[in-house]
Amino acid sequence: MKSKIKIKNLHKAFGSKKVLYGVSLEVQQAESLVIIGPSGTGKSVLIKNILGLIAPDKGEIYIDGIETTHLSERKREPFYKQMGMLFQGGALFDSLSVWENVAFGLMEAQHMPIDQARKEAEKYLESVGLSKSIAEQYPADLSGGMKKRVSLARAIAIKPEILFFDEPTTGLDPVMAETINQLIVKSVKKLGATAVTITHDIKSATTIADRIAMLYDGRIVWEGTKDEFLKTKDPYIVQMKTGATKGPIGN
Amino acid sequence: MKNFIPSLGHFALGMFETVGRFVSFLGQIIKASFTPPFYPKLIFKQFLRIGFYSLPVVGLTAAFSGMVLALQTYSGFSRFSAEGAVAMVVVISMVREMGPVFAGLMVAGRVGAAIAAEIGTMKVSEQLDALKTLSVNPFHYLIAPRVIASVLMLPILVIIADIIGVFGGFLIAVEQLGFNPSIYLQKTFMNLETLDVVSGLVKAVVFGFFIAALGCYHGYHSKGGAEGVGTATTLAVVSGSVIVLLTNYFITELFFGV
Repeated sequence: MKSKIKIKNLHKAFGSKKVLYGVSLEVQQAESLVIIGPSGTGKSVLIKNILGLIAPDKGEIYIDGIETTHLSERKREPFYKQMGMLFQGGALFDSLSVWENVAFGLMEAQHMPIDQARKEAEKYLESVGLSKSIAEQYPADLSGGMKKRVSLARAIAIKPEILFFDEPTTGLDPVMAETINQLIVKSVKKLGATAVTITHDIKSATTIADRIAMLYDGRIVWEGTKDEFLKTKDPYIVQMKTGATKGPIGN
Repeated sequence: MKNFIPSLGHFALGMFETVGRFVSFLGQIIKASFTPPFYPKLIFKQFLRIGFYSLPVVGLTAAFSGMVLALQTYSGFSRFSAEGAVAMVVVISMVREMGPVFAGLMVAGRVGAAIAAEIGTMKVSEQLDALKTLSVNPFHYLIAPRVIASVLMLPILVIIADIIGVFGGFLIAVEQLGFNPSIYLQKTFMNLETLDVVSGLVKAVVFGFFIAALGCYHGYHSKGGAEGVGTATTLAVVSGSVIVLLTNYFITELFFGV
Protein backbone atom coordinates (compact mmCIF):
# COMPACT_ATOMS: atom_id res chain seq x y z
CA MET A 1 0.00 0.00 0.00
CA LYS A 2 1.24 3.44 -0.98
CA SER A 3 0.52 6.53 1.03
CA LYS A 4 -1.49 9.01 -1.07
CA ILE A 5 -1.92 11.81 1.45
CA LYS A 6 0.24 12.36 4.50
CA ILE A 7 -0.27 15.14 7.02
CA LYS A 8 2.29 15.85 9.71
CA ASN A 9 1.65 17.98 12.79
CA LEU A 10 -0.68 20.48 11.10
CA HIS A 11 -1.54 23.71 12.93
CA LYS A 12 -3.97 26.39 11.88
CA ALA A 13 -5.40 29.32 13.80
CA PHE A 14 -7.71 32.14 12.74
CA GLY A 15 -6.66 35.11 14.82
CA SER A 16 -6.50 33.87 18.39
CA LYS A 17 -8.81 30.91 17.69
CA LYS A 18 -6.82 27.70 17.28
CA VAL A 19 -8.66 25.39 14.91
CA LEU A 20 -6.14 22.66 14.17
CA TYR A 21 -3.65 21.78 16.83
CA GLY A 22 -1.16 19.21 15.63
CA VAL A 23 -3.14 16.97 13.27
CA SER A 24 -1.28 14.00 11.79
CA LEU A 25 -3.00 11.64 9.37
CA GLU A 26 -2.18 9.28 6.55
CA VAL A 27 -4.48 8.08 3.77
CA GLN A 28 -3.45 5.11 1.65
CA GLN A 29 -3.97 4.87 -2.09
CA ALA A 30 -7.55 3.86 -3.03
CA GLU A 31 -8.61 4.00 0.61
CA SER A 32 -11.73 5.77 1.83
CA LEU A 33 -11.09 7.70 5.01
CA VAL A 34 -13.92 9.37 6.87
CA ILE A 35 -13.15 12.10 9.37
CA ILE A 36 -15.91 12.51 11.93
CA GLY A 37 -16.31 15.03 14.67
CA PRO A 38 -18.79 17.48 16.12
CA SER A 39 -19.56 20.66 14.19
CA GLY A 40 -16.99 23.41 14.45
CA THR A 41 -13.98 21.20 15.19
CA GLY A 42 -12.09 22.18 12.07
CA LYS A 43 -12.99 19.32 9.73
CA SER A 44 -13.61 21.65 6.77
CA VAL A 45 -10.47 23.61 7.58
CA LEU A 46 -8.49 20.35 7.51
CA ILE A 47 -9.58 19.33 4.02
CA LYS A 48 -9.23 22.88 2.71
CA ASN A 49 -5.64 22.73 3.94
CA ILE A 50 -5.07 19.47 2.05
CA LEU A 51 -6.62 20.98 -1.09
CA GLY A 52 -4.46 24.08 -0.75
CA LEU A 53 -7.38 26.50 -0.41
CA ILE A 54 -6.08 27.56 3.01
CA ALA A 55 -2.41 27.70 4.01
CA PRO A 56 -1.53 26.09 7.36
CA ASP A 57 0.46 27.95 10.01
CA LYS A 58 2.72 25.00 10.75
CA GLY A 59 3.13 21.40 9.65
CA GLU A 60 3.53 19.55 6.38
CA ILE A 61 1.23 18.03 3.79
CA TYR A 62 2.42 15.45 1.27
CA ILE A 63 0.51 14.23 -1.76
CA ASP A 64 2.04 11.24 -3.55
CA GLY A 65 5.13 11.82 -1.43
CA ILE A 66 5.58 15.41 -2.69
CA GLU A 67 5.33 18.23 -0.19
CA THR A 68 2.57 20.62 -1.25
CA THR A 69 2.30 22.73 1.91
CA HIS A 70 3.51 26.04 0.55
CA LEU A 71 3.33 25.60 -3.22
CA SER A 72 2.54 28.61 -5.40
CA GLU A 73 -0.78 28.71 -7.30
CA ARG A 74 0.97 27.74 -10.52
CA LYS A 75 2.88 24.79 -9.07
CA ARG A 76 -0.26 23.62 -7.35
CA GLU A 77 -2.20 23.28 -10.60
CA PRO A 78 -1.13 19.69 -11.40
CA PHE A 79 -2.38 18.72 -7.93
CA TYR A 80 -5.73 20.44 -8.45
CA LYS A 81 -6.06 18.47 -11.65
CA GLN A 82 -6.03 15.20 -9.73
CA MET A 83 -8.45 16.32 -7.00
CA GLY A 84 -12.21 16.61 -7.01
CA MET A 85 -14.36 18.04 -4.28
CA LEU A 86 -18.01 17.86 -3.36
CA PHE A 87 -18.74 21.03 -1.42
CA GLN A 88 -21.21 21.13 1.45
CA GLY A 89 -23.66 23.45 -0.29
CA GLY A 90 -22.87 22.04 -3.72
CA ALA A 91 -21.08 25.25 -4.80
CA LEU A 92 -22.57 24.95 -8.28
CA PHE A 93 -21.92 27.94 -10.53
CA ASP A 94 -25.32 29.59 -10.62
CA SER A 95 -24.64 31.49 -13.84
CA LEU A 96 -24.17 28.22 -15.73
CA SER A 97 -26.67 25.52 -16.64
CA VAL A 98 -26.50 22.04 -15.09
CA TRP A 99 -24.59 20.44 -17.95
CA GLU A 100 -22.17 23.37 -18.18
CA ASN A 101 -21.48 22.92 -14.48
CA VAL A 102 -20.73 19.23 -14.89
CA ALA A 103 -18.63 19.84 -18.01
CA PHE A 104 -16.85 22.87 -16.54
CA GLY A 105 -13.58 21.16 -15.62
CA LEU A 106 -13.57 19.24 -18.91
CA MET A 107 -14.05 22.37 -21.03
CA GLU A 108 -12.03 24.96 -19.11
CA ALA A 109 -9.13 22.94 -17.75
CA GLN A 110 -8.93 19.99 -20.15
CA HIS A 111 -10.10 21.97 -23.22
CA MET A 112 -12.50 19.30 -24.40
CA PRO A 113 -14.63 20.36 -27.42
CA ILE A 114 -18.09 21.56 -26.42
CA ASP A 115 -20.14 18.76 -28.07
CA GLN A 116 -18.02 16.04 -26.57
CA ALA A 117 -18.05 17.74 -23.15
CA ARG A 118 -21.85 17.91 -23.25
CA LYS A 119 -22.09 14.18 -24.01
CA GLU A 120 -19.70 13.41 -21.17
CA ALA A 121 -21.71 15.65 -18.85
CA GLU A 122 -24.94 13.83 -19.71
CA LYS A 123 -23.22 10.51 -19.11
CA TYR A 124 -22.13 11.62 -15.65
CA LEU A 125 -25.56 13.04 -14.89
CA GLU A 126 -27.02 9.63 -15.68
CA SER A 127 -24.43 7.91 -13.53
CA VAL A 128 -25.67 9.90 -10.51
CA GLY A 129 -29.26 9.03 -11.34
CA LEU A 130 -30.34 12.27 -13.01
CA SER A 131 -32.06 12.42 -16.37
CA LYS A 132 -30.77 14.31 -19.39
CA SER A 133 -33.85 16.52 -19.28
CA ILE A 134 -32.45 18.66 -16.45
CA ALA A 135 -29.24 19.43 -18.38
CA GLU A 136 -30.53 22.82 -19.52
CA GLN A 137 -31.88 23.85 -16.11
CA TYR A 138 -30.06 26.19 -13.75
CA PRO A 139 -28.88 25.30 -10.22
CA ALA A 140 -31.49 27.62 -8.68
CA ASP A 141 -34.24 25.36 -10.11
CA LEU A 142 -32.92 22.21 -8.40
CA SER A 143 -33.73 20.66 -5.01
CA GLY A 144 -31.01 20.16 -2.39
CA GLY A 145 -30.56 16.48 -3.23
CA MET A 146 -30.34 17.17 -6.95
CA LYS A 147 -27.76 19.90 -6.36
CA LYS A 148 -25.61 17.45 -4.41
CA ARG A 149 -25.87 14.93 -7.22
CA VAL A 150 -24.95 17.46 -9.90
CA SER A 151 -22.05 18.57 -7.74
CA LEU A 152 -20.97 14.94 -7.37
CA ALA A 153 -21.17 14.50 -11.14
CA ARG A 154 -19.00 17.62 -11.59
CA ALA A 155 -16.43 16.32 -9.10
CA ILE A 156 -16.10 12.88 -10.72
CA ALA A 157 -16.26 14.13 -14.34
CA ILE A 158 -12.60 15.23 -14.22
CA LYS A 159 -11.65 11.67 -13.17
CA PRO A 160 -9.75 12.72 -10.07
CA GLU A 161 -7.36 10.50 -8.13
CA ILE A 162 -8.43 12.00 -4.84
CA LEU A 163 -12.01 12.93 -3.97
CA PHE A 164 -13.07 15.09 -1.05
CA PHE A 165 -16.58 15.10 0.32
CA ASP A 166 -17.61 17.90 2.70
CA GLU A 167 -20.67 16.87 4.71
CA PRO A 168 -22.27 15.06 1.76
CA THR A 169 -25.53 14.21 3.54
CA THR A 170 -26.16 17.36 5.58
CA GLY A 171 -29.59 18.82 4.98
CA LEU A 172 -30.94 15.82 3.09
CA ASP A 173 -33.78 13.47 4.03
CA PRO A 174 -32.69 9.97 5.15
CA VAL A 175 -33.57 8.31 1.86
CA MET A 176 -31.74 10.89 -0.24
CA ALA A 177 -28.81 10.78 2.21
CA GLU A 178 -28.51 7.01 1.72
CA THR A 179 -28.75 7.46 -2.08
CA ILE A 180 -25.87 9.94 -1.96
CA ASN A 181 -23.85 7.61 0.29
CA GLN A 182 -24.31 4.74 -2.17
CA LEU A 183 -23.42 6.99 -5.12
CA ILE A 184 -20.25 8.08 -3.37
CA VAL A 185 -19.22 4.47 -2.69
CA LYS A 186 -19.99 3.51 -6.29
CA SER A 187 -18.19 6.47 -7.86
CA VAL A 188 -15.10 6.14 -5.70
CA LYS A 189 -14.84 2.39 -6.46
CA LYS A 190 -15.35 2.96 -10.17
CA LEU A 191 -12.63 5.60 -10.33
CA GLY A 192 -10.32 3.66 -8.01
CA ALA A 193 -9.88 6.98 -6.24
CA THR A 194 -8.68 7.82 -2.77
CA ALA A 195 -11.48 9.47 -0.82
CA VAL A 196 -11.56 11.75 2.19
CA THR A 197 -14.99 12.52 3.62
CA ILE A 198 -15.88 14.72 6.54
CA THR A 199 -19.20 14.26 8.24
CA HIS A 200 -20.94 14.14 11.59
CA ASP A 201 -23.46 11.63 10.24
CA ILE A 202 -22.44 8.24 11.69
CA LYS A 203 -24.64 6.27 9.29
CA SER A 204 -22.97 8.00 6.36
CA ALA A 205 -19.52 7.40 7.86
CA THR A 206 -20.02 3.66 8.27
CA THR A 207 -21.39 3.32 4.73
CA ILE A 208 -18.56 5.19 3.02
CA ALA A 209 -15.52 4.43 5.16
CA ASP A 210 -12.73 1.89 5.04
CA ARG A 211 -11.14 3.73 7.91
CA ILE A 212 -12.48 6.36 10.31
CA ALA A 213 -10.69 9.08 12.25
CA MET A 214 -12.23 11.35 14.82
CA LEU A 215 -11.22 15.02 15.00
CA TYR A 216 -11.92 16.80 18.26
CA ASP A 217 -10.48 19.96 19.75
CA GLY A 218 -8.09 20.44 16.85
CA ARG A 219 -6.51 16.97 16.89
CA ILE A 220 -7.18 13.37 15.97
CA VAL A 221 -8.47 11.64 19.11
CA TRP A 222 -9.24 8.21 17.60
CA GLU A 223 -8.39 6.35 14.44
CA GLY A 224 -9.24 2.84 13.25
CA THR A 225 -10.89 0.60 10.68
CA LYS A 226 -14.65 0.49 10.22
CA ASP A 227 -14.89 -2.78 12.24
CA GLU A 228 -12.86 -1.30 15.06
CA PHE A 229 -15.13 1.74 14.98
CA LEU A 230 -18.22 -0.40 15.40
CA LYS A 231 -16.73 -2.31 18.34
CA THR A 232 -14.69 0.32 20.17
CA LYS A 233 -15.52 1.45 23.71
CA ASP A 234 -13.56 4.69 23.26
CA PRO A 235 -15.51 7.36 25.15
CA TYR A 236 -15.29 9.89 22.28
CA ILE A 237 -16.65 7.43 19.71
CA VAL A 238 -19.32 6.12 22.07
CA GLN A 239 -20.56 9.65 22.75
CA MET A 240 -20.46 10.53 19.05
CA LYS A 241 -22.52 7.40 18.23
CA THR A 242 -25.08 7.76 21.00
CA GLY A 243 -25.31 11.53 20.98
CA ALA A 244 -25.15 11.57 24.79
CA THR A 245 -24.79 15.01 26.28
CA LYS A 246 -22.43 13.74 29.01
CA GLY A 247 -18.92 12.65 28.09
CA PRO A 248 -15.57 13.93 26.86
CA ILE A 249 -17.19 16.01 24.10
CA GLY A 250 -18.26 19.18 25.89
CA ASN A 251 -20.51 21.86 24.64
CA MET B 1 -3.43 57.33 27.28
CA LYS B 2 -2.46 53.76 28.14
CA ASN B 3 -5.10 52.41 25.75
CA PHE B 4 -4.68 55.10 23.18
CA ILE B 5 -1.18 54.25 21.96
CA PRO B 6 -1.77 50.50 21.41
CA SER B 7 -5.07 51.17 19.63
CA LEU B 8 -3.35 53.74 17.42
CA GLY B 9 -0.75 51.08 16.62
CA HIS B 10 -3.44 48.52 15.83
CA PHE B 11 -5.17 51.01 13.59
CA ALA B 12 -1.95 51.85 11.70
CA LEU B 13 -1.04 48.17 11.29
CA GLY B 14 -4.53 47.35 10.07
CA MET B 15 -4.39 50.17 7.57
CA PHE B 16 -1.00 49.09 6.21
CA GLU B 17 -2.26 45.51 6.00
CA THR B 18 -5.32 46.54 3.99
CA VAL B 19 -3.33 48.77 1.65
CA GLY B 20 -0.72 46.04 1.15
CA ARG B 21 -3.37 43.43 0.46
CA PHE B 22 -5.10 45.70 -2.05
CA VAL B 23 -1.86 46.55 -3.85
CA SER B 24 -0.92 42.88 -4.13
CA PHE B 25 -4.48 42.19 -5.39
CA LEU B 26 -3.98 44.85 -8.09
CA GLY B 27 -0.69 43.19 -9.04
CA GLN B 28 -2.46 39.86 -9.45
CA ILE B 29 -5.16 41.51 -11.59
CA ILE B 30 -2.59 43.09 -13.91
CA LYS B 31 -0.69 39.82 -14.21
CA ALA B 32 -3.86 37.87 -14.97
CA SER B 33 -4.95 40.45 -17.56
CA PHE B 34 -1.79 40.02 -19.62
CA THR B 35 -1.07 36.30 -19.27
CA PRO B 36 -3.04 33.39 -20.75
CA PRO B 37 -5.53 31.79 -20.47
CA PHE B 38 -7.78 34.57 -21.84
CA TYR B 39 -11.55 34.25 -21.95
CA PRO B 40 -12.75 36.41 -24.88
CA LYS B 41 -16.35 35.25 -24.52
CA LEU B 42 -16.45 36.31 -20.88
CA ILE B 43 -14.85 39.67 -21.72
CA PHE B 44 -17.49 40.23 -24.38
CA LYS B 45 -20.26 39.38 -21.92
CA GLN B 46 -18.85 41.99 -19.53
CA PHE B 47 -18.67 44.53 -22.37
CA LEU B 48 -22.43 44.23 -22.60
CA ARG B 49 -23.03 44.28 -18.85
CA ILE B 50 -20.63 47.10 -18.02
CA GLY B 51 -20.81 49.15 -21.22
CA PHE B 52 -24.05 48.66 -23.04
CA TYR B 53 -26.39 48.36 -20.07
CA SER B 54 -24.83 51.43 -18.42
CA LEU B 55 -25.73 53.59 -21.43
CA PRO B 56 -29.21 54.70 -20.28
CA VAL B 57 -28.16 55.87 -16.84
CA VAL B 58 -24.94 57.49 -18.05
CA GLY B 59 -26.75 59.19 -20.96
CA LEU B 60 -29.50 60.48 -18.71
CA THR B 61 -27.12 61.97 -16.12
CA ALA B 62 -25.00 63.51 -18.89
CA ALA B 63 -28.00 65.09 -20.60
CA PHE B 64 -29.31 66.70 -17.42
CA SER B 65 -25.92 67.87 -16.23
CA GLY B 66 -25.25 69.50 -19.62
CA MET B 67 -28.65 71.19 -19.45
CA VAL B 68 -28.21 72.49 -15.92
CA LEU B 69 -24.70 73.62 -16.77
CA ALA B 70 -25.99 75.80 -19.60
CA LEU B 71 -28.70 77.29 -17.38
CA GLN B 72 -26.39 78.05 -14.46
CA THR B 73 -23.58 79.46 -16.57
CA TYR B 74 -26.03 81.69 -18.34
CA SER B 75 -27.62 82.96 -15.14
CA GLY B 76 -24.20 83.61 -13.60
CA PHE B 77 -22.37 85.02 -16.59
CA SER B 78 -25.20 87.27 -17.75
CA ARG B 79 -24.65 89.33 -14.58
CA PHE B 80 -21.55 90.76 -16.18
CA SER B 81 -22.68 90.38 -19.79
CA ALA B 82 -20.50 87.40 -20.55
CA GLU B 83 -23.27 85.18 -21.99
CA GLY B 84 -21.00 84.48 -24.96
CA ALA B 85 -18.88 82.19 -22.75
CA VAL B 86 -21.72 79.70 -22.14
CA ALA B 87 -20.76 77.44 -25.05
CA MET B 88 -17.13 77.32 -23.93
CA VAL B 89 -17.92 76.69 -20.26
CA VAL B 90 -20.36 73.92 -21.13
CA VAL B 91 -18.06 72.05 -23.48
CA ILE B 92 -14.94 72.36 -21.34
CA SER B 93 -16.63 71.46 -18.06
CA MET B 94 -18.43 68.59 -19.68
CA VAL B 95 -15.45 67.06 -21.48
CA ARG B 96 -12.83 67.66 -18.81
CA GLU B 97 -14.80 67.02 -15.64
CA MET B 98 -18.49 66.28 -15.65
CA GLY B 99 -18.53 63.67 -18.38
CA PRO B 100 -15.83 61.48 -16.84
CA VAL B 101 -16.83 62.05 -13.20
CA PHE B 102 -20.56 61.50 -13.63
CA ALA B 103 -20.03 58.46 -15.86
CA GLY B 104 -17.49 57.18 -13.30
CA LEU B 105 -19.85 57.69 -10.36
CA MET B 106 -22.78 56.07 -12.16
CA VAL B 107 -20.66 53.08 -13.16
CA ALA B 108 -19.24 52.84 -9.63
CA GLY B 109 -22.80 52.55 -8.35
CA ARG B 110 -24.12 50.24 -11.00
CA VAL B 111 -21.18 48.07 -11.95
CA GLY B 112 -19.05 48.21 -8.80
CA ALA B 113 -22.01 47.02 -6.75
CA ALA B 114 -22.95 44.28 -9.20
CA ILE B 115 -19.40 42.93 -9.37
CA ALA B 116 -18.97 42.94 -5.59
CA ALA B 117 -22.33 41.25 -5.04
CA GLU B 118 -21.71 38.59 -7.66
CA ILE B 119 -18.16 37.70 -6.63
CA GLY B 120 -19.09 38.02 -2.95
CA THR B 121 -21.94 35.54 -3.35
CA MET B 122 -19.62 33.18 -5.19
CA LYS B 123 -17.13 33.50 -2.35
CA VAL B 124 -19.56 32.79 0.48
CA SER B 125 -21.19 29.89 -1.38
CA GLU B 126 -17.74 28.33 -1.98
CA GLN B 127 -17.99 28.77 -5.77
CA LEU B 128 -14.58 30.47 -5.79
CA ASP B 129 -13.07 27.45 -4.05
CA ALA B 130 -14.89 25.19 -6.51
CA LEU B 131 -13.31 27.10 -9.41
CA LYS B 132 -9.86 26.52 -7.95
CA THR B 133 -10.44 22.81 -7.41
CA LEU B 134 -11.47 22.58 -11.07
CA SER B 135 -8.04 24.07 -11.99
CA VAL B 136 -9.46 27.42 -13.08
CA ASN B 137 -7.85 30.51 -11.60
CA PRO B 138 -10.52 33.01 -10.44
CA PHE B 139 -8.24 35.91 -11.35
CA HIS B 140 -8.18 34.79 -14.98
CA TYR B 141 -11.75 33.57 -15.20
CA LEU B 142 -13.69 36.10 -13.12
CA ILE B 143 -11.64 39.15 -12.28
CA ALA B 144 -9.54 39.92 -15.39
CA PRO B 145 -12.55 39.90 -17.79
CA ARG B 146 -14.42 42.37 -15.58
CA VAL B 147 -11.46 44.72 -15.17
CA ILE B 148 -10.51 44.56 -18.87
CA ALA B 149 -14.09 45.24 -19.94
CA SER B 150 -14.44 48.11 -17.48
CA VAL B 151 -11.14 49.72 -18.58
CA LEU B 152 -12.13 49.52 -22.26
CA MET B 153 -15.79 50.48 -21.83
CA LEU B 154 -15.49 53.53 -19.58
CA PRO B 155 -13.72 55.70 -22.23
CA ILE B 156 -16.50 54.86 -24.70
CA LEU B 157 -19.14 55.69 -22.11
CA VAL B 158 -17.36 58.96 -21.34
CA ILE B 159 -17.24 59.98 -25.01
CA ILE B 160 -20.96 59.28 -25.28
CA ALA B 161 -21.59 61.20 -22.05
CA ASP B 162 -19.56 64.14 -23.41
CA ILE B 163 -21.55 64.26 -26.63
CA ILE B 164 -24.92 63.93 -24.91
CA GLY B 165 -23.96 66.48 -22.25
CA VAL B 166 -22.80 69.07 -24.77
CA PHE B 167 -25.93 68.44 -26.79
CA GLY B 168 -28.06 68.92 -23.67
CA GLY B 169 -26.40 72.28 -23.09
CA PHE B 170 -26.91 73.19 -26.73
CA LEU B 171 -30.62 72.37 -26.55
CA ILE B 172 -31.19 74.60 -23.52
CA ALA B 173 -29.05 77.41 -24.95
CA VAL B 174 -30.87 77.41 -28.26
CA GLU B 175 -34.42 76.55 -27.23
CA GLN B 176 -34.67 78.38 -23.94
CA LEU B 177 -31.97 81.02 -23.83
CA GLY B 178 -32.26 82.17 -27.41
CA PHE B 179 -28.73 81.48 -28.65
CA ASN B 180 -28.06 81.21 -32.36
CA PRO B 181 -27.48 77.48 -33.01
CA SER B 182 -24.72 77.81 -35.58
CA ILE B 183 -22.75 80.34 -33.54
CA TYR B 184 -23.17 78.23 -30.40
CA LEU B 185 -21.84 75.16 -32.18
CA GLN B 186 -19.00 77.10 -33.73
CA LYS B 187 -17.95 78.40 -30.31
CA THR B 188 -18.23 74.89 -28.88
CA PHE B 189 -15.83 73.40 -31.39
CA MET B 190 -13.50 76.40 -31.41
CA ASN B 191 -12.89 76.13 -27.70
CA LEU B 192 -12.48 72.36 -27.52
CA GLU B 193 -8.88 71.17 -27.60
CA THR B 194 -7.47 67.68 -27.99
CA LEU B 195 -5.99 67.81 -24.50
CA ASP B 196 -9.47 68.32 -23.02
CA VAL B 197 -10.70 65.12 -24.59
CA VAL B 198 -7.51 63.20 -23.83
CA SER B 199 -7.55 64.16 -20.15
CA GLY B 200 -11.15 62.97 -19.93
CA LEU B 201 -10.28 59.65 -21.53
CA VAL B 202 -7.28 59.12 -19.25
CA LYS B 203 -9.63 59.68 -16.33
CA ALA B 204 -12.06 57.17 -17.79
CA VAL B 205 -9.38 54.47 -18.04
CA VAL B 206 -8.21 55.05 -14.47
CA PHE B 207 -11.79 55.14 -13.12
CA GLY B 208 -12.68 51.99 -15.04
CA PHE B 209 -9.73 50.12 -13.60
CA PHE B 210 -10.32 51.13 -9.99
CA ILE B 211 -14.10 50.69 -10.03
CA ALA B 212 -13.88 47.11 -11.31
CA ALA B 213 -10.81 46.28 -9.20
CA LEU B 214 -12.49 47.56 -6.01
CA GLY B 215 -15.69 45.66 -6.81
CA CYS B 216 -13.69 42.47 -7.29
CA TYR B 217 -11.53 43.12 -4.22
CA HIS B 218 -14.44 43.64 -1.85
CA GLY B 219 -16.35 40.70 -3.29
CA TYR B 220 -13.31 38.43 -3.15
CA HIS B 221 -12.68 39.25 0.50
CA SER B 222 -16.27 39.19 1.71
CA LYS B 223 -16.92 37.09 4.79
CA GLY B 224 -19.96 35.44 6.29
CA GLY B 225 -23.28 35.12 4.52
CA ALA B 226 -25.73 37.63 3.12
CA GLU B 227 -24.56 40.31 5.54
CA GLY B 228 -20.97 39.98 4.35
CA VAL B 229 -22.03 40.32 0.73
CA GLY B 230 -24.09 43.40 1.64
CA THR B 231 -21.11 44.99 3.38
CA ALA B 232 -18.87 44.17 0.41
CA THR B 233 -21.34 45.81 -1.98
CA THR B 234 -21.57 48.96 0.13
CA LEU B 235 -17.79 49.15 0.46
CA ALA B 236 -17.36 48.68 -3.30
CA VAL B 237 -19.70 51.57 -4.11
CA VAL B 238 -18.35 53.91 -1.43
CA SER B 239 -14.66 53.23 -2.14
CA GLY B 240 -15.29 53.29 -5.90
CA SER B 241 -16.99 56.70 -5.71
CA VAL B 242 -14.33 58.12 -3.41
CA ILE B 243 -11.51 56.91 -5.62
CA VAL B 244 -13.22 58.39 -8.70
CA LEU B 245 -13.30 61.83 -7.06
CA LEU B 246 -9.82 61.47 -5.58
CA THR B 247 -8.02 60.34 -8.73
CA ASN B 248 -10.04 62.89 -10.70
CA TYR B 249 -8.40 65.68 -8.73
CA PHE B 250 -4.89 64.32 -9.23
CA ILE B 251 -5.33 63.73 -12.96
CA THR B 252 -6.71 67.25 -13.38
CA GLU B 253 -3.72 68.55 -11.42
CA LEU B 254 -1.41 66.54 -13.70
CA PHE B 255 -2.93 67.88 -16.91
CA PHE B 256 -3.98 71.41 -16.05
CA GLY B 257 -2.23 72.24 -12.77
CA VAL B 258 0.08 75.24 -12.74
